[in-house]
Amino acid sequence: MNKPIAQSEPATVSTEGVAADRGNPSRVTAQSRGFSPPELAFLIGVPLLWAVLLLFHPGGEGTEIYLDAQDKVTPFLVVHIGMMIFIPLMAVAVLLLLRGVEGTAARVSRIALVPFVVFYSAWEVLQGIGVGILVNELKGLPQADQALREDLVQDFAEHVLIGPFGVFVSIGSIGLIVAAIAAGVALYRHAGAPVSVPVLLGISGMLITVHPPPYGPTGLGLFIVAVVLFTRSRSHAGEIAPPRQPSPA
Amino acid sequence: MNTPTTRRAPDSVRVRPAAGNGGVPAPIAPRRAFSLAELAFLICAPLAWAVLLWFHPSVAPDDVYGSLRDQVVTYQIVHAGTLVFIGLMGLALNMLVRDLPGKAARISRLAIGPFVLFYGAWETVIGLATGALVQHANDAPAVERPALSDAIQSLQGNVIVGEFSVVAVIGALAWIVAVIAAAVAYRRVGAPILVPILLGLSLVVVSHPPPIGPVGLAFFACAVALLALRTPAPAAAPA
Repeated sequence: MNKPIAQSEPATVSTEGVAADRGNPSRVTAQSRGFSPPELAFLIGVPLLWAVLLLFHPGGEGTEIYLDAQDKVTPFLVVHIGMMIFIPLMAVAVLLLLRGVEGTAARVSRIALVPFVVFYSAWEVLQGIGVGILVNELKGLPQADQALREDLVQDFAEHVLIGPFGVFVSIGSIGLIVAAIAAGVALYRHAGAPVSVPVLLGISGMLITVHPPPYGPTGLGLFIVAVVLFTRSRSHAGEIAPPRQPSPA
Repeated sequence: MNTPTTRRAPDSVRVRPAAGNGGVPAPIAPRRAFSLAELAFLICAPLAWAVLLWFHPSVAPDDVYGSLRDQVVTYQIVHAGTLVFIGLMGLALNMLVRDLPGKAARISRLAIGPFVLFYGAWETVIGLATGALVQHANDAPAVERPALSDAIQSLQGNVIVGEFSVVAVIGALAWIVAVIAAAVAYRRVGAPILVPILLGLSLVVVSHPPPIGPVGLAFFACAVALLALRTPAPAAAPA
């Protein structure tokens, strides 16, 4: 999908070094093109903005969802509508991070992003937007008494597809965790990333799946740190890489 | 992002520009051929979704609970499957236009993301959330059902995710833009006239219950099949 493109961009953040394949030092992988400043801004800005948004995520134990949400419908909806946008943007960020990186781990990561986007988004839409709108609609229904409202919202939020350990969130979360770990492994093995990058990406994937604060914002912060470390390592590799010898005719 | 390549696949169906007006081939870069597996995916994904949609229960807009209370499992299965097929259709359309040149193809590619995101979100709420609520109402005491039915009904009228809501309109418009732009892009590279017509007609998929949704998906599959069938086989390379 994202094929390495041999093009020079003067405005890139110097990542033209050749990354040796750690699993097979004799093999040199295709060069991944560096990140331009707008791309780097995207890679850092998306998780940063998502983390800021998640700081406003209403709290609660999850046992009395109607009572927890009834007075916070607007922030509940704003946070979850925003999340609906940020989930695919994070997938794009991971794809961007893996651009030009070949190998099984990179392929696994790209594939795992699909169930993450489809199922985590669906879960998030149902659990976040669905619950928020249901609470809002029930508040405007005088014929529905308090117990009925609470039961309906609680039952809805604990549905086998929608619930906190339901089908959708399980598939979506596993998708993100696999994508993050595989991305880290791919960057480490094929793009010269330091070992801290896969560690940080793996932890960030796990924390992001539990998105309310402090877990989600912390995970997104770790993702940013991983991006910065990877970019710095690539810049450094670009500076010390010996000039490429022309191949013999 | 999607660079046109000229990869050669031995078992592929070459999709080449047909002759333009006056028999002069349109001056475009050669596009990558679809392999048989890709072609199978491009035809089977819409057809499989069309088959699934034939089982979509009919819903009276003014009595959603009454329409669905006896068919809630079918309704949920159809919409859980639809969630997956929306993603697959986005992928299929992207495969179809990824190597096409021009602004129309670019617009089509750009519109696929909002379609998958917003149409998928709308479909999730209107399909799966409604199904979950109907299931709850079925299990509730009879005395509570009128109020629960009202709650289900009010969800359909919600301005954000209801039947004719912001999310639904954005998702539907994105699909319409994506397929019309794809049709224009194919016309510009000299595809047989029926291909852009059928692709354009597949815009009706936004109204997914039968018969409209399945018919629209059949148009899409026919457009792909025609594209493969009407394209001349690659000429043998001179020795």
